[in-house]
Amino acid sequence: MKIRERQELIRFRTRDRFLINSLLITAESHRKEEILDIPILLQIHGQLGHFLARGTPRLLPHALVERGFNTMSMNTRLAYAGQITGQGIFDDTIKDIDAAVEFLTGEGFKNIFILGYSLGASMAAYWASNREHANVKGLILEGLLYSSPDSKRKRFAEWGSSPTYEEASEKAKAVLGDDPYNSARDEILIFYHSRGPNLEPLSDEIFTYKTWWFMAGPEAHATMTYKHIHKIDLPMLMIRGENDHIVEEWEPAALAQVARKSGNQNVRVRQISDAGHDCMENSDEMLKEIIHMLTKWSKE
Amino acid sequence: MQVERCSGTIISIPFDNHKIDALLCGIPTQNKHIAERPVILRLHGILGNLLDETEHKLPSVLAAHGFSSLTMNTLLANLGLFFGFGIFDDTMPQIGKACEFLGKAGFKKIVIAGHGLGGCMAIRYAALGHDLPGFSAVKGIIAIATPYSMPDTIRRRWRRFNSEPTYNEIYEKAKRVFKPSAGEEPARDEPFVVKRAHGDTYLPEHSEVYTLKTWWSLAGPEAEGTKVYKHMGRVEVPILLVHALHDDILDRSEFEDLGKVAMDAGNSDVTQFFVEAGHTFEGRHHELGQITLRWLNDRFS
Repeated sequence: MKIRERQELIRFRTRDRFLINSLLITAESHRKEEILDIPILLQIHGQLGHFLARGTPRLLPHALVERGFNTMSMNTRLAYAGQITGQGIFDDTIKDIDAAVEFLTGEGFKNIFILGYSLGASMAAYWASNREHANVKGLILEGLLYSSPDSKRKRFAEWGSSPTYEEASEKAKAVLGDDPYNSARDEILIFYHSRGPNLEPLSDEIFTYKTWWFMAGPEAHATMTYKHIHKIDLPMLMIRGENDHIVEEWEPAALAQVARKSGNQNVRVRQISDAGHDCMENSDEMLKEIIHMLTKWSKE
Repeated sequence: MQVERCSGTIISIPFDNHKIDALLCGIPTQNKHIAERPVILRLHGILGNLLDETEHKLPSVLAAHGFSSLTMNTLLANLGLFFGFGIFDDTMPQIGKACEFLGKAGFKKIVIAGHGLGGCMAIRYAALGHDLPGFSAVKGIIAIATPYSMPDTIRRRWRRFNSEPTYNEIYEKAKRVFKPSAGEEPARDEPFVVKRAHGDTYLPEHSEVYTLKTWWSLAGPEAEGTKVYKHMGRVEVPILLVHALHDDILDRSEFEDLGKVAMDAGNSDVTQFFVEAGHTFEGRHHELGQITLRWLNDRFS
């Protein structure tokens, strides 16, 4: 008798007691052991995202399950309004991914792949540069920035944000002091006209000084992926939509070069045609790349 | 590692150009059950969503006692207030759509339940009644920790903590969007932060963020939809009101007055309960669940 496709809402806590919500979807199979052998994709959302956000986070899990793979999508502490309420410190997302990997390993999954979308790709890369786990077989990095702080600085200048990147950096230093992570002070700040030229609120960005400092500030080393990608030994697939207006074409190629130079030859960079920042705009091409990766690097 | 496996299935209900996400729990399999037992349509509070930690065990408690539930995200869920699309009145057709969905699924009776802002939405929807789709199946309202008037509650709280900017300063600014002076172009909608809005520090947890438009429809002096006392008298179905005795946001008198408005208007089935708890009912969810179950069983078993 077949075990049918199954969806489960799972909650677990990180080692610092943050509550993680996640959606586990397992493919149809003949027996439980078989399910655990099938590759599982752990998916991480982008900025202000969550596992039901439109595009890749929402569409990819079901597309993969239909093709016989398992997925688990997780909400990190940066999901939803984490960067606005102050709890979404980028560096701490490493604990969120730790907990998710621990959960999946505890369940018995042997072939875990981590896919990060946009900011989630930075989270996945940061995690992999600091962790090794026998059951984690590879990384898929969709829309990965070379350096999130540099990208933000450039975009703020392009659109004429208020405050400017430099003004916010100075104010953040003044508010947070010498030890930003442990600072007892923090405040919400709004960047007007930081994301685009139109006059709608979606052209603005909201952070706290602390969340901004660790995600986009001039000393946000964890999101400067070029600084730590050389430490990743896992096979990597970097995908970018050819019409992506956020990540420039040179960025994944430059990151791959850093990784290869340090000895990791299992790095593949692909442009997805007819897609923007969200590669699921061309789902056939994206799925082909992902399935190739999952199949090639899974343990038999 | 402590793991909680939640019951329920995440579903999407098509609505206009987007989808309403919802969590459906305790799906019954017998037609008799669907026809006789109400399904509980749950609405989140301010900045909440269908995964809210607050009361997230309620669907399991309801399901264990034979009540299905649908917890839905509205436009006010998550980031709606911050980026301009969370307009209070626009949530009404969404609630209607969810009721329609439940009707098509076979449910003949719906009870709408909400906490805080969710209670405001539930009462507003019930007051609009037959003007909205899906209403005929609505057989009851559960409003937990619901303000007498959201604008008054927010104004009072901002004044108490000496908010920066003040309520009146925001009102003057918002008027430039909605009521520009003669010859003046309407100002753009934009987000703003109010510091010291519900606490005496500048920390994020004591601050609030809106856009001028979302504030106007939720908290401004002309926000008719969230002045609950104005709509309570038009709710004709049974109402359960629950108040947290140690609520630091709402006064006991607001809760008592709200019940009185309903009764004075002729609603013969208004039930009011107090619980020894704070606004979120932390630590008292079991008691809240039992109150809800008793009220449902008394009317629908």
